Amino acid sequence: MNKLFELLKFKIKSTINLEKIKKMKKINLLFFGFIFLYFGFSLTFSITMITDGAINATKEYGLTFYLIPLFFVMISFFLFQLSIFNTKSIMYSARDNDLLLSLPIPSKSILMSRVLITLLWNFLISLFIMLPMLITYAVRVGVSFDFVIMSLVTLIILPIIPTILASIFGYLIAFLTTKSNASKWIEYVLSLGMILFFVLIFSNIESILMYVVNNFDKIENFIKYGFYSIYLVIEMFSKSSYLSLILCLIINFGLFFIFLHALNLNYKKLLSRLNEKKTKTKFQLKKLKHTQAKQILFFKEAKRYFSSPIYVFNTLFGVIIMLIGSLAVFFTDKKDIINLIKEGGLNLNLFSVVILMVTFIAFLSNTSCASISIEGKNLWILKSLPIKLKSIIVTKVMFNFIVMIIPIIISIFAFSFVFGFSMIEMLFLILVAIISLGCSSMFGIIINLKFPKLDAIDDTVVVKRSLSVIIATMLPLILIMTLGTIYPFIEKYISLNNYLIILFSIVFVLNIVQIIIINTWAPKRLQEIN
Amino acid sequence: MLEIKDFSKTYGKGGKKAVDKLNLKVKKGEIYGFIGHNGAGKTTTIKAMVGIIDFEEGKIKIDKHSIKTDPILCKQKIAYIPDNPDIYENVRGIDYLNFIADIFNVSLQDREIAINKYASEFDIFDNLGDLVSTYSHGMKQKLVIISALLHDPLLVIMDEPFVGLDPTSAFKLKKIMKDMCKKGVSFLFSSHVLEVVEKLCDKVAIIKKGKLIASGTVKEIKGDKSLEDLFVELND
Repeated sequence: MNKLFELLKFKIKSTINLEKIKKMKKINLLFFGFIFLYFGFSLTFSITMITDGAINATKEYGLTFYLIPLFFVMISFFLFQLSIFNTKSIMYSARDNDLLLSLPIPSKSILMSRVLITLLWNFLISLFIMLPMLITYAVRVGVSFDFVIMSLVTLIILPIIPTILASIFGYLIAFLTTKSNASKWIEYVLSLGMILFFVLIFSNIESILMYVVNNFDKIENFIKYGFYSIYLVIEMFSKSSYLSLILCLIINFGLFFIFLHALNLNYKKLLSRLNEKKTKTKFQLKKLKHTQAKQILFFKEAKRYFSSPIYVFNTLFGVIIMLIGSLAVFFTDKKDIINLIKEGGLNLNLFSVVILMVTFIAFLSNTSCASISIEGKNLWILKSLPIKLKSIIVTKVMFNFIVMIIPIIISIFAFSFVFGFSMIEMLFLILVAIISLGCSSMFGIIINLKFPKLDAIDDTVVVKRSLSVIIATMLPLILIMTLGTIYPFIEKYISLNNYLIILFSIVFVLNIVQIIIINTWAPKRLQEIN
Repeated sequence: MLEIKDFSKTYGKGGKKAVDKLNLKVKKGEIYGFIGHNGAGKTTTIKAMVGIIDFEEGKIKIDKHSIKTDPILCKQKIAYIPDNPDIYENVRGIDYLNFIADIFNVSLQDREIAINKYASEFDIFDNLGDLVSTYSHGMKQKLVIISALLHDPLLVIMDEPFVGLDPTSAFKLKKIMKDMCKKGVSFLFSSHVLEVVEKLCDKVAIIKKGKLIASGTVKEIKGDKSLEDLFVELND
């Protein structure tokens, strides 16, 4: 137990890196503090509004007491989806496997520390989402002592089952990796399957909810016998049942310990098998190909990118969804889409919606903000080769641009064709995509150069938790949200089209500023990074 | 071939000097040993020589060109072998070698000859089709050494090149170094294996806490003592 505690303490300490925070300049600390606070506030506000809307909608059917279990299920899905990409690298393919296995620490403690770290992450995320939901619910519907107790229990047990399921998914990938050479492909297929599953669920959410309302008794029975833990949460809140609360705790913690015990039976063996390397016996030198230096740098970038499923899915997720959406519009009635936009509370025409979507995806799909960090200990190779430092940077910017622009332009063609946009409108959309992608690609690399993370233990840390990635994706998100919030207040004075033209002109100017930075500051900064 | 004049390097503003006014000259065809305690400043100096880290004071010239103002030209003439063979894990050995050859613009014929020659010599040819992630530390080290020799460099700078190599490969590397020296190629390498430095090098430089405390021919430096005795004496 002591060793487990020590291990956990060390892991948390190294993740938070307090020493680095202490060394940060006050102005930087203030800036990041402000960004995080603002983002936190914006997200809390959005969650509160969504909860408020959901309460209004369910009140009509007298199903308000089902909301907390519904939130419970939705956040569970979200946590599961978030963790499936992390568990393989955190629990099975971690770089400290050899070190920890060589130390006098029982394998169960190693496993437990890794599961607890995942659980802790999921707990913090669920707390961040669930707390505003529960408070809004309590204010709108009313609060009792029982509600407070049950909410606390719900918060505690919420991340357990998603963590277990995601760990099993990670185990499956790790296990298949030991059986096959095509581990990356297995990871790609399973992860893509999971994304498609979620897309399918969320694109049909309305019909699913209608089905739930119309077949209430059947669903209740289905949940009771299929997902007993969720049924208990419903019972807890609808009947203030303390028996359900106790059963819920027993089931969740019981499942957790059974899962730990079962996984531990094979854990050490699996870790050691993951260490085994499959090699070919004979090699024959076939005719080699000569490629120009700039091209080979680009190919190197592509190989590195596609060799990391977590990097690919974290950055291509939005683009894939947009591509699927653009294909789906071929089979959807245009009127239904317009109604959907109106129901969503957006007073926008189709053209403006596509502009917003393209901008949003272009800014959120960013490979360049992790591209320096992902080099990690290999950065010496590029820096010692006879290539201009600027070429290295430009290649990384161009890679992001080219990877993202192709599916975005395909989507623009599809949307333009289905929605009947004119040639000028289509060209304007392409221009918006180019300007936005150029801006996000350059912004990503500049931020990554400013805050590189070259000592990450794996790609997950770089792609999901490094400062540059958080800033490069959060800052545009905050800006887009802010600009969207401001517009209704100035709607009287400026048309949407003019507002968008002004904004894209600013983005255009930003691009010029960033080009100057990439030509002057960026190569010097890359030289400094070591 | 290599000239270092008053080179100093400080990490961070107001930090301690990692290297302080270091002067060194490596002539054509010379093998230069660079020795010192852990943290003495060897790797910092080497990284500055090959253009990986920036420096504020002093000059480093390779074949009369400054690494600071003409980095591309300088890098084209040198080869670097780092203290840790951290290379791209997601590619095959042959792909890594081809990548380096492309960057240095080595002709197809020359790269094939060099790969065949050095990979066979270091007994790694059969593994070139495997992913680098499946390589052992020693195999990665061999791959880095081969990649460094592909473009016929004029100066080879190596940081602990013998670490991780099996005795046969270490022997072969020493032989390659001697053969290349005869053709006018210069070598500068750091090592903690003083016997190798003593036997292999024409000249040696000893660095202590960032300052050069001795340099010259091996004979001049050690006199009647062994290099090991002298090193311990100087560092006490």
